[in-house]
Amino acid sequence: MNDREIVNLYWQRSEQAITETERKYGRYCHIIAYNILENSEDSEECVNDTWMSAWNSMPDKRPERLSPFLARITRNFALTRIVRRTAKKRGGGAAELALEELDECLSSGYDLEKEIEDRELSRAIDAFVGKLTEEEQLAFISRYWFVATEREIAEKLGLSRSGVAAMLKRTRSKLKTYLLTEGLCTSQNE
Amino acid sequence: MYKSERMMKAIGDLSDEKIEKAGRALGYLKEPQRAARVPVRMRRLLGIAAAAALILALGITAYAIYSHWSRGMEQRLPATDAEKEIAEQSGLSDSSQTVSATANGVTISVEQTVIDSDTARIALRIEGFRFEREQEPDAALWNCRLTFDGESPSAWGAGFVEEGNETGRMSITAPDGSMEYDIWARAGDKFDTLAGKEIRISIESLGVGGLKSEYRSLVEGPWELVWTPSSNSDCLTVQPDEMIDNTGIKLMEAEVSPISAKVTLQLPALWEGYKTMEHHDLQLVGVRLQDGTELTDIFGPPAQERYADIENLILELSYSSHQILRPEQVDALIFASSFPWARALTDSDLIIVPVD
Repeated sequence: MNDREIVNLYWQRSEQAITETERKYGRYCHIIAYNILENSEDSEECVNDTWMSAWNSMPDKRPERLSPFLARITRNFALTRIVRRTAKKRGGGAAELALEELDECLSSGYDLEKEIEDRELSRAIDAFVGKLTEEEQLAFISRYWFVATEREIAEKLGLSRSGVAAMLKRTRSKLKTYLLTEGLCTSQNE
Repeated sequence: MYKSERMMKAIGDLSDEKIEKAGRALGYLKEPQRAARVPVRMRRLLGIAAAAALILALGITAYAIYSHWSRGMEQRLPATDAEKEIAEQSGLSDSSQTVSATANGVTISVEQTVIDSDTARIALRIEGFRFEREQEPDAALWNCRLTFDGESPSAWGAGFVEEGNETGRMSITAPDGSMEYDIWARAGDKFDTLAGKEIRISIESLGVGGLKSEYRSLVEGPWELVWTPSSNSDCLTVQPDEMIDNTGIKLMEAEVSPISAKVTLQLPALWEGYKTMEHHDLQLVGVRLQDGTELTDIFGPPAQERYADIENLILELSYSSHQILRPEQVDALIFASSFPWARALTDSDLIIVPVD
């Protein structure tokens, strides 16, 4: 069943929509949740929350493509859970590791919430990623959107793990510089 | 909210296209069917069906040759039943070995090998031990050593095979409780061929850790497996010595084997991307067969990318195939540029170089 037919089922309020969504995107969403949460039960709950959210949002929404639509919902639910978990104790898991790596891109002490709107940062990051090479893009998105491990990225992209780690480090450094030049981040020395 | 959490949220707003592309590169999302390629695919399937019918008509497989394909091999080298049988008959695939070793109740056995002159894929089956769910991401075989005729290959790697279970959860434990550990190796510069060589694998222990934490042994070995599997050294070698379209790059030599390929290029200028682990812009992505079938996505990023002669700008690119080839059926190589593995290629992306 293609995405348009599945979306039509949502609009018809047919519960078959959930069945078809789970069949087509269940594994995909589960991987996204599991990469972040590293816990099967939490991931399953997260995926179920995704189906419920999709059910509640259609209508009015009519996504052209379901995979990014569902993936975003799953990722947001999973990140919300991990943030709650992380609030208690940082460190240890894959998502925590990815969060720590990204810390370096915005200088410490910078109160982002007060100084810029979220959408400005989103726009800047999308533009930045668009300027990366294909390989850098894939590695960056795999790591920080899908929270895939360096080992997995290395296997899937046919690179060495150290090569992926070095590439990500370079990209984070470039991102920090880019955000500085865009005025979205201040240097620690300023 | 931590600044990194805000970053993660902002990264979450990346465009749909970028997310889908990365999802596919990771294998999380299946590649969409390319409508334009369907007739070609159909021709290929019909060709395989005809070949299978011919084999049956000749009575070659009338007694049903057993062509087992391991779980990992199904993922990395998917094949139709007819292709599996041909692979088994040609010696490329070997699942007839009964080599195994047992230590502390855990048995490791050779499940299947697929070996051509340049690439070896080895599937090991592990029985008698089950990792806890939370241990699975860190599962490891400690001090695993691999030799061909007593020599270590210059490039090899290994890992547990993961599959989604009925709930969609990824796991390295199969429904029957066994696990599969897959090893790949390449001949590289060290061997003329991997075909016909005695393989020796020794493993010290089975445990967890190694990447994020210190390794902890859970079952002590050792396990040692020694055997000489069948293999297939068929190889199409051509030396076109011709420019590839208008790229300015000359194709000096190409070798196509059943599960690997190598192209030797002469570049117009020094390319230094290899120093930073980048891939050269022009890449071999597939082959055209004599019946006109275009297989345009059978090679991933090159396994090795090196200058054979940097002064003369001779670059060698080596690939492993995701599909079994019959070298004698190849009549053209297909190249594409600009990181072609992560996007749907159109006809205008493809550069076809006949090798007759």
